[in-house]
Amino acid sequence: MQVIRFIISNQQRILEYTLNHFSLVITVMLFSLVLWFLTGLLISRYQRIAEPVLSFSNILFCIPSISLYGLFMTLPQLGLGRRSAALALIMYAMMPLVRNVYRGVKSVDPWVIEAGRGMGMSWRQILLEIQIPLALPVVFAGIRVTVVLITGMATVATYIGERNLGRLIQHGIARSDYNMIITGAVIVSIIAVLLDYILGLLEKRLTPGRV
Amino acid sequence: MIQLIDVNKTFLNSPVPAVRGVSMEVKDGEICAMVGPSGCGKTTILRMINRLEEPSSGTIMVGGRDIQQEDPDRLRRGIGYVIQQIGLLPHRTIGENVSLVPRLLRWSEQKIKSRVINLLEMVGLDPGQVYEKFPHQLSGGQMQRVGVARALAADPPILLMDEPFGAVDPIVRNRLQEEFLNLQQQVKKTVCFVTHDINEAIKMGDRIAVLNEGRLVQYNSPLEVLSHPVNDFVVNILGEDRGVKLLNLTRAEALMSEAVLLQESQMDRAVQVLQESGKTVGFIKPNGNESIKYFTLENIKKGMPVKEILEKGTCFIDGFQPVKTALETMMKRNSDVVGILKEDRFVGIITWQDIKKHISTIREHENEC
Amino acid sequence: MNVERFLVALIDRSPPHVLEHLQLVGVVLFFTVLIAFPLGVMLTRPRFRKYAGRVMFFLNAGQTIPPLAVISIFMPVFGLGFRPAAVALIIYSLLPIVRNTIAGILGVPEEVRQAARGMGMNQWELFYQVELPLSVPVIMAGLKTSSVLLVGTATLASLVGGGGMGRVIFAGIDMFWPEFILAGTLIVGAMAVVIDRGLTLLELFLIPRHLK
Repeated sequence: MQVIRFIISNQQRILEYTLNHFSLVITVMLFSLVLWFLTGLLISRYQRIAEPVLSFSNILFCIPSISLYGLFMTLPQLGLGRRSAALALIMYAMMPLVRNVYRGVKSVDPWVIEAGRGMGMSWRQILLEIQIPLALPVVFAGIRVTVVLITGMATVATYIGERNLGRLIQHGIARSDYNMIITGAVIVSIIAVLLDYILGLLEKRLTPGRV
Repeated sequence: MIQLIDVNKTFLNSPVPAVRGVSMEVKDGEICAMVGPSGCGKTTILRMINRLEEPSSGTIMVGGRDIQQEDPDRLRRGIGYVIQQIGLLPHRTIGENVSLVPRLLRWSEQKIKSRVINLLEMVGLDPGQVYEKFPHQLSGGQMQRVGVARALAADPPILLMDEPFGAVDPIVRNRLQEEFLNLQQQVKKTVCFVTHDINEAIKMGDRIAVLNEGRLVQYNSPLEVLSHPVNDFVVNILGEDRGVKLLNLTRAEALMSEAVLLQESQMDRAVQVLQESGKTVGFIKPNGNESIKYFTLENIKKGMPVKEILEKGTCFIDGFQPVKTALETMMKRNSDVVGILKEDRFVGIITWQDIKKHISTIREHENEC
Repeated sequence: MNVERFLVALIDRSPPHVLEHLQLVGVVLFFTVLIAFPLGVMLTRPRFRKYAGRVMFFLNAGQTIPPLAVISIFMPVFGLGFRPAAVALIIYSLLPIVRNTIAGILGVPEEVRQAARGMGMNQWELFYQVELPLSVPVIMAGLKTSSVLLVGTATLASLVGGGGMGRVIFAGIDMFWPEFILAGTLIVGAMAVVIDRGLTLLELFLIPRHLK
């Protein structure tokens, strides 16, 4: 009850935080998808660089989110706020996205590729018509994990000046205000679940005809 | 025509060459069955023909042109390729799978569609039933037929088949083999057929290439390989029951005496006609549905009248059926001759004498060994 | 970059928090395994298998709650300090271990299970002699993932008075000193690596020889 009252009396602020949160996640996802999808394809093509790239992404993923935010924040080109937050989150997205694109492409039955080559499909055609479509389920799993992850991690960016739902939690902690914390947590979870659900629907439309 | 001239191949990570100094030629319209134990280089040779592997040295010519001079992708589009694992695209329908190469070659949609339907029928599938299905909805045998249809889609003159029927059960395999031989009668492709099963090689091949440790040990017709194996390795591969295999697996047409068609009016100089053509059997063109009247050079020389008759429908076998079938037919009909058909036309006869002589030649050879 | 300040962070400020951090991680891991492993095993038993889906759904949903929120959610109940942070982190770490325990045990090939039953093993013998040894690699993978993530997430404990390396890192953020953030990060990273290696060693003891 108190939570609802809190939400109603603070609609304006909550709406602003939610939109900010949402737009940060979307920005990060768009950049990450392009960047890490291409990286994943690249390392599946050039096997030699696969291991170092994947190790690097693993190390990045082990760094606490607050550290990455903090380090980027102190760089003069990035500073407090959106740019540091987005860059840090893009870095976190690297591991699940690159790994799943790589795994997805690598998991394609080599005999299907052999048949494709034998019929005279070019490298590009094999990539576009066989490897990418067949990798999609694994890639999508990676995208969904990443979205949930990024949505949650974005809350911590409040400590470097992002005005998003993390701020409700931050202030909630500072003021011991349970309603604020709950409100922040619930809306963040809803965004995560919603994005995950939408991607699930999209996945079904994009991957026809398989068991 | 496919020509290999002193082809060698050594893989990067291997100390032993996979293929050593192989030279051979596959004539147009022939099936060359490559057989040998695993690791003998047969698959490597096949994959070099469509440049999925590059030879370390030597030349491969397809249709008189050095394939090194051609764009690999374009080369492959002109060569059908069937593998044991089939490799159908799991996310495409059967129709889309079969039309893959024509689409790469940018045929018109209409032409593609009618071609695909035609092909599916040719390999014994019901287009209405399978066209929109996905590969996982088909049985192993059906998928393998789709694989063959896909390879034939753009009507390539050459077909490379790597153990194409290896993954299905023996009954289905037998049926697929026979269907393919039938199909081959119509399409007359130049086929390289890799198998590790000598029986399949004898059944499918116009010629058999026996390979061991990357070397071509023997390359000849099944009959010749069975009756004159060049060394112990080939004898071993052929197995103890070589003699029976000869009957079981030699095609009837290999032993047949070809027949010459004569008009009724030519009968008075039949001896002359036969001698000119070099054949020992003649036959008279039947009127309508009549049974076939034939005669042998020997009998006609003795002045015997034409009285031998092969009754329509019972005394005939197809040319690529084994000699054993000819023998069985003779026993069933209590006759010592059967007529041989090719594409439903009478082409010759095979007699009890032919078979006996055949068996004795093997015996002789075995004694020599 | 101020080297002196970096050394201060590394040598003067960090050591007590390293201990706090390790203590937190240790306690959390201990209780997580204590809860998650039996829970995962129980959910694969025939009697409870039908609930596995539902429990996994809740754990998955729990995973969408941001770590920052999980950390703070128990504050009203337990107040500030070590306890709310530890409880929150335990809950946060449960999922990967439960999930991998279930996946590992259910991943044992059915024919192996049938063969064991056929030889007359009872449920307990089947579990102890067949299912458990064969699922160790998957279970250990879950434990490793959980631990590495936990070491990082535990930095947030300092926000609710739980101490740990978060103290050094947040101090760096508050004062805009990258030296503090970097020092804290390096130590946390080192801890993650050490724990990961340690668990890998443990794995070598636990995994049946043929699976190595």
